[in-house]
Amino acid sequence: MKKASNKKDKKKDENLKSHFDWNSFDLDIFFREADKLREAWKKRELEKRKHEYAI
Amino acid sequence: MSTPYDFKRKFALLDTNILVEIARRTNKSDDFKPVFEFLEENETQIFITDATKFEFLSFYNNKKDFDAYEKLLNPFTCVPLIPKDIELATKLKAMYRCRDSNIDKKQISFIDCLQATQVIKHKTSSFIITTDVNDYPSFLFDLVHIIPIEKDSGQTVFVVFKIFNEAKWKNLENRYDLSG
Repeated sequence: MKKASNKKDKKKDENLKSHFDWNSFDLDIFFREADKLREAWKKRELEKRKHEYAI
Repeated sequence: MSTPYDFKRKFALLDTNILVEIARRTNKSDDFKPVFEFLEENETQIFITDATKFEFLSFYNNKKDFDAYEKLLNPFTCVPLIPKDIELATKLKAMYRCRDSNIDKKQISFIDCLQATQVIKHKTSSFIITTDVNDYPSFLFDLVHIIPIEKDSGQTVFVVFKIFNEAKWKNLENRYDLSG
């Protein structure tokens, strides 16, 4: 019974099999990209607010 | 004393709030480096779900932002949700409320329940990483690791690692089955 359930769990985990690869994931690039996006987003939000206040 | 949890080669589900912290709230996303270094040391496989994507991208209201932030998620495998996940998430919400009737139904996020289903389904091989310890309640999940992140703003964010506890699930399910 236990074996059957282990087999089932294994099968389920197969579905999770990730393509995630630490060798191709560059953490510094990921963080740099996130920082760049945030700065651009903040700038746009600020502009939007300035525009709203002006109106 | 309980045995420490073995993270080696497990699957790590990134909760949306981690991504939101990295991409929106902090001023320096590499404050979160220790979390990723820990995951790398343990050769874990990071994944997200359709629910993570939905919640994360719902902040953006134009194509340019949407596409740019969607690209940021590219390195992570996105596990598609199936109808059974939605069924389980719906039941989970009822079980949470049965456990504590004081919880308002609006306090229990459907997305958090959907995330929880992944850790329940892959109970022996996965864990969730979140900044909100209460999204995955202690009557069902065990806290196995914490990484404090001190942001340059002076605030500290606690990144917690949680696993599903089957014994707790059985208790909760019994309670739920006998409730009505």
